[in-house]
Amino acid sequence: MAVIAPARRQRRERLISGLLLAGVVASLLVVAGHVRPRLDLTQDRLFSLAPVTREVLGRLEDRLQVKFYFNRRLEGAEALLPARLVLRDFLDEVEAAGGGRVRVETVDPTESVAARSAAEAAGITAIPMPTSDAAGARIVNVYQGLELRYQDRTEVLPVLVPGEVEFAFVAAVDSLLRDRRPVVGLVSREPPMPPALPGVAEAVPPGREFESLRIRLGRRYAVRDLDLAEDAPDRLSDLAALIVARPERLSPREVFEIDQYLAGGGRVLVLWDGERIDVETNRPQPTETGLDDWLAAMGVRPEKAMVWDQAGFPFPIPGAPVRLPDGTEVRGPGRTVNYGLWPIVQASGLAADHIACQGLANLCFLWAHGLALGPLPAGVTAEVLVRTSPATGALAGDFDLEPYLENVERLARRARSGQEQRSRALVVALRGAFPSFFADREPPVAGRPIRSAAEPGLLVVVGDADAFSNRGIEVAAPSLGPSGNPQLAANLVDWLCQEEGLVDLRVRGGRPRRIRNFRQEALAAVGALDPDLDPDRREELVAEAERRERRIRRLISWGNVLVPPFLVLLLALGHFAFHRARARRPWRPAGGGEGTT
Amino acid sequence: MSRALVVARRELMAAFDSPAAWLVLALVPALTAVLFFVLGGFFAAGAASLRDWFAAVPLLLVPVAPALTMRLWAEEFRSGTEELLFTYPLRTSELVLGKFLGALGLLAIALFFTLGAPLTVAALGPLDWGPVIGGYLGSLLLGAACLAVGAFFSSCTRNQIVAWLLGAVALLVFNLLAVAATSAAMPEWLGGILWRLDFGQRFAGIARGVVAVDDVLFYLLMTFLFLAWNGLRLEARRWP
Repeated sequence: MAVIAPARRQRRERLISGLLLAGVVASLLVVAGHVRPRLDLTQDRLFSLAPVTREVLGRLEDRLQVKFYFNRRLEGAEALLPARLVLRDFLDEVEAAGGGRVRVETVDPTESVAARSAAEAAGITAIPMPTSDAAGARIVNVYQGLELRYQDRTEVLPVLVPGEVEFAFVAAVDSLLRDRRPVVGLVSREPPMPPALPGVAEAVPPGREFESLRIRLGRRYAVRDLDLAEDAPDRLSDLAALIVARPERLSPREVFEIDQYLAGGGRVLVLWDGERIDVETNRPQPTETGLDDWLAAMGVRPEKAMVWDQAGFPFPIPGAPVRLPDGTEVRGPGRTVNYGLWPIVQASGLAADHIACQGLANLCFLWAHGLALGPLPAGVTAEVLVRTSPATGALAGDFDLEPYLENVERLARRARSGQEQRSRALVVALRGAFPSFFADREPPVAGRPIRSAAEPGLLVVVGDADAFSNRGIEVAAPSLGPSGNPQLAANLVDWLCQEEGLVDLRVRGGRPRRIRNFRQEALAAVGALDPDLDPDRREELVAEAERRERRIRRLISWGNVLVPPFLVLLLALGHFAFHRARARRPWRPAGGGEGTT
Repeated sequence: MSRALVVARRELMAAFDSPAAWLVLALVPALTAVLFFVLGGFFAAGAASLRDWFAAVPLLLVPVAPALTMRLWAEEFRSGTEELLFTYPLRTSELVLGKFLGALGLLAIALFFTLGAPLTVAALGPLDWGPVIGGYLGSLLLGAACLAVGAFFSSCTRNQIVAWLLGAVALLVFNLLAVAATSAAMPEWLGGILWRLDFGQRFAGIARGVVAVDDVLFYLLMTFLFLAWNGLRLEARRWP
């Protein structure tokens, strides 16, 4: 038997102890990885499942199979790691809340041809993401989709966005449970989509101005295009809501169908507009909606004049041409002007406590019309959901709409000199049992019994169809960011369809948490917001405001950088001075008597 | 435990007698403020949030934590005072814990001096304090783990610079594990382990306002592991 030296034996024992310790800690880490409880400290409980999510999961009677398709290897796309963390957390939460009825499986489509085929068969395709590294620029294909299977039904979320994943997931599970999606009808004068050809991407005809709205609503609803003049009335019977987008020359039969749908307890969203914009001449072309008398009978009277709100869209205007001494011509510094025909509505213009207005910011209306209320039918109540700022005038008649500097100033003057300046309603909601417009008129469809105030219904009127058109959905200003129009559209439809839980879910965390707008404050402080200023003076004031804004930012930044070290320096000086003074004090022996220095 | 606290107090007091500790106290808030307010896009983004501020904490601790711990043991070994230390009526675990708590106290004071940033943001907009509380809690937990790593490497050498270097490299590795875990060359089983051992990913979870028990346990266990290894190193010196 070999004799090991004591020192060597001790070293060996310590090494074994260290390794055993690491093993114990590793085992505990594995166990800890399965510990679920967690505390969500965020004010809106952003990272906890919402009650509506738990309610939907609670309705599962069978197993919900969730396949999360993602590529585990993200070389070159490491920026996606935090998003992955959020998605993984959410799916873990869902699996835990599902109580055994939800099974989440992860599939990496880049690992095998079979996995990639399965992803593509499910409708989940790679998103090419440009990246660059030491080897040069390249494209990384990123998969981040979800496939949900319940009984014999399937829903697919091709691309998951962390901020929207809970809403998309709940909407998909709800669709699986209902067997089919709720149907929203859409009435418009758009050209139909051409018949789909296999293997050929569908081209959207130019006149399909509400296609973006259709796509967005399609995430939750089945959107059904309706022709009220031709379709059988029972095509409306299963609708969750009906959208009448930019009504134009509606026939009495079409108005009759809308009327009967509402009087029977339907939910109608009217995107009203009094004109089309001629893109060649940049002038408004008045249109006849065919719906105005009916709307007036319901209690809403759209104004023919367009609103001009001083809080308008900030359009960048190029500077005036300047000729240099050598004869060349250059553009002077540009500026922004507030184009009042595109009113921007922020929180102060929203009905704060209405569910459809939650989480909204930066609403942008394009050539909108004010809505006057009353007289309302008996039993019908109305509320204004969105309104312009108090500094709002109106422009009637024919005029140039182009947002160049001189024209904007001309239109602003005209709006101020015309009708009174006041806040105008842009979105109104009416609820109650609506009487039929045709109750005391000859109905356009003979032999049909007329329903009147049969069931409580909902009517929402928006004084601008362009706001929800393709252009209105995508509109964004560099200084404001994306508009809240798509969210307003989705909120309104969800509210009409009684999907208030989904509205809550969508707007959760959407509450803008912005710091003070120093630029706006500086502009106001120097008086640069006065609309009557001449352009040169305004430029001077804007420059002064920019200097003031930079000063404030520098003060905050360097204050934060320098104040803590200064405090530490003071404390250090105090500490060392105290110790030096103590060291100089005469030493006193215990028991009294004279000490020495 | 009370004897460990006596050691911690003595360590903390001794630290304040050296300009190095004051320098760390001054540099941590100044550096974070430069990164967040001056170089970062706080004003450009316009969001009342400290997410970017906390995102810098794991990398900030890479040089700072070893700087706070490099002298804990290396200095004792260099000057030979560890022999004197071992004659005190203290167990090795009490010495290790006491010195670690002293360093943690110093880090907590440094973090206290950074409170100006959340107070400034709260004055400028509607700050959600949940993630801020989570961020500071995560900073303390992550800081504890980083200090334990630094203390362990300080016990491995008598040269403070070597101790700092080893600690900083180790912490850098712990912060890059998640990136390594997602690389194409990494086998899946190993990638899974590395992902779970990454210091930064877990901190990101806490700093967004979600305090998960497994993340807290992870940091506590890593702290315990490196302190225990530190203790074993000292035992080897105490009873060679």
